[in-house]
Amino acid sequence: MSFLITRRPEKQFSPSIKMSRWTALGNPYLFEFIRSDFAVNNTLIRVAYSTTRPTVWINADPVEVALLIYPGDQIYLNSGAYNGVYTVFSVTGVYVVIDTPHIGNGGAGRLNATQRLTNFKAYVKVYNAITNVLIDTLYPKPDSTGLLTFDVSGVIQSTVKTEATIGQTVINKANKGISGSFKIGYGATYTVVFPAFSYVVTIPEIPSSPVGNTQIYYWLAGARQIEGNMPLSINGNGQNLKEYVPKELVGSAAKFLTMFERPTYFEGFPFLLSFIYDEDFDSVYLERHQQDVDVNGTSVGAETDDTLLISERKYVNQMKIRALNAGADGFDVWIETGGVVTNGYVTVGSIPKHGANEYSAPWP
Amino acid sequence: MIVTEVLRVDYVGCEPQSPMQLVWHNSLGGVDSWVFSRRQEYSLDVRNEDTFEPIINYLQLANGLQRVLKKDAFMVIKLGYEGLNAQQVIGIKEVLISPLVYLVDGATQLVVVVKDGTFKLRDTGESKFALEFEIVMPKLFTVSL
Repeated sequence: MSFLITRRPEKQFSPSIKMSRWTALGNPYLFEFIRSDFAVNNTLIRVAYSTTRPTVWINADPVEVALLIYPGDQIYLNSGAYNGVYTVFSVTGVYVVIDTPHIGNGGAGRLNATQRLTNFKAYVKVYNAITNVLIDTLYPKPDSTGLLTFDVSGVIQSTVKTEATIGQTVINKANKGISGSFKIGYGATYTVVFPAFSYVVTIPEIPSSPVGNTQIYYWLAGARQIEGNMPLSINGNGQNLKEYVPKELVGSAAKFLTMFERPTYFEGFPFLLSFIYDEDFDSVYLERHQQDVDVNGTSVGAETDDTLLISERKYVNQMKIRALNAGADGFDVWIETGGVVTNGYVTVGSIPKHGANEYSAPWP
Repeated sequence: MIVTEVLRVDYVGCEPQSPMQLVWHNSLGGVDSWVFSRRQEYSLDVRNEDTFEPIINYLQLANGLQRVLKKDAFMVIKLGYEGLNAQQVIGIKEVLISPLVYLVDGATQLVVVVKDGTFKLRDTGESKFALEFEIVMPKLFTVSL
């Protein structure tokens, strides 16, 4: 018996193995689990057991098969052409003959002993990824095929505290009310039913503890639209914010979190640009680069770079811009990687932010 | 190594007439802003919250038939902007669907509500576009009897 995550809300930056794990909370935040009681090698005619009915070859201990599958039982089978609920005709070791006509050969799949392992209920625990505090536990049930698609957005939504800090004084500031991170743990319970007795089994939580290397997922209070390829909600772009997630990769061109193609900065009024400060920059500083331009797009003054506060990473950040040079009619702004972080310090020729000297700044 | 797009930001250097800046939480989880200018229409939206009709013993001495216990009052400001291009409309229209809109005046930030309704965003017969909507200021405190 296994209950595993089969698809996660993440999108790969091919050919790199890095992933975007940022998803908009206004859309479903989906994980897919599958219940698999027995793995199936294949399903085909085996004359030793039946010449007319297909035989399922199970990849399991024959003692366990004999305990949990009996002739006449209803089972769920997913093996190529055989996908549905079938009645067991006979059981011999790890070979199960199903009472249905042979319609072709079936490949690898799974078999669920739904008549003997009943009352299957999953539990999914959602933890705050920073504090490892449990946010909520939910008990979704898989469908008749053992498939469970589970949406955690409702749980996370309870932690949203929508606020904007327009008057910020620092160059970049995390908006912790509208973005954050979480981890999940999961397992299931079911009842093993024999003719004479039954008992409840609990699959221990996977992983066993939220602390450690458990995968972290990120959310922000946003909402993608259907043109954002919503059908690819798991492992696809969909509500995943891949195109807005910067990565330390050549060619990374993450968009800023603005709906304007060209925002407008009005002199004398607060102006902030939002971006995702991703986990990929734990060991390297980010810098805001700004180049003023005139009405023709020609550079005015020198390009400037300012180091961003690394303590604000892993959240949506709001970034200030610097005052413009005289004669500028606009500016280009982007983010680059800067110095390498070593024990909290920039390695070459710098005093860390908030530090009077190289020893005085705490690890952010 | 550049890790984001290079974003071109336009700059309006002269202070507009009657400026009013709105800052809102957009659909991407970021913050966008726009300064509306020139013309705003201020209205007072008033509703009678509670009324009652007192018993009248002597009609000759009565000075009214209906009394108000409390009124609700909201300042409503109609804002608009003309001569917008398509990408500006796409950006500003977010204020209409945002759950959190601030009216920013110096260091003061007020949470305002954009009045619901149907808004004209684009007309394909036009090369420039206009957008108009109303914001509801915080409810006024009123006297109740």
